[in-house]
Amino acid sequence: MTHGIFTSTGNLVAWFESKKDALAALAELARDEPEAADEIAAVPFDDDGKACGPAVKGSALRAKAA
Amino acid sequence: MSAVASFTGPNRIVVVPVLEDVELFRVVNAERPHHPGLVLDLTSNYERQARPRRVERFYSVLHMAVSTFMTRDAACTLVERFPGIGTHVARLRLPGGAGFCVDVPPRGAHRSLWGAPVQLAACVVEVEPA
Repeated sequence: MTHGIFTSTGNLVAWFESKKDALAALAELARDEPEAADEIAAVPFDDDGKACGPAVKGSALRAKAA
Repeated sequence: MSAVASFTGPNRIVVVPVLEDVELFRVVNAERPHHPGLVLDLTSNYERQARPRRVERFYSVLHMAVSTFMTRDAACTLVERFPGIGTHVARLRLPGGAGFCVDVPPRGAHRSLWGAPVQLAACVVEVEPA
């Protein structure tokens, strides 16, 4: 399983082997660009390359941190 | 921490020219082929003048790519999980030898695609709801 971070433009900006690393990177992006936190999300992918779990938006991590 | 020290990403990315006809699938908002909005839908973050993020900061080539998938199913599952990303899936039929390039990742259905947005939009042969 891999975890991709996508922007709402449909483009991939990062990918990770672990959910923990993906969420840490997403939180960093949300901190850096709070105005865009709702437009970026981490999505898990199975070995066939299909999204297989709920997306976590950057805005969700900002809300938790607040 | 230096920028180099904070680098996380692949050691290398393999990019090859599209030399034979290939089909790829892209999440879009336009609802049909030839729709003017397809050009923007097929525009990279770089061309949108978006700030480079994460791996894009180290690989400008990825900042200049658009994300596509090898299968329609894979593109649809992304829309299911992240609806804000688009409403439809476009099928692109890319002719070999036309200057388009794709990456060759070790696994998965995602393919980064390089090409001029207007040319890519002209390759869209079908658009269906995701």
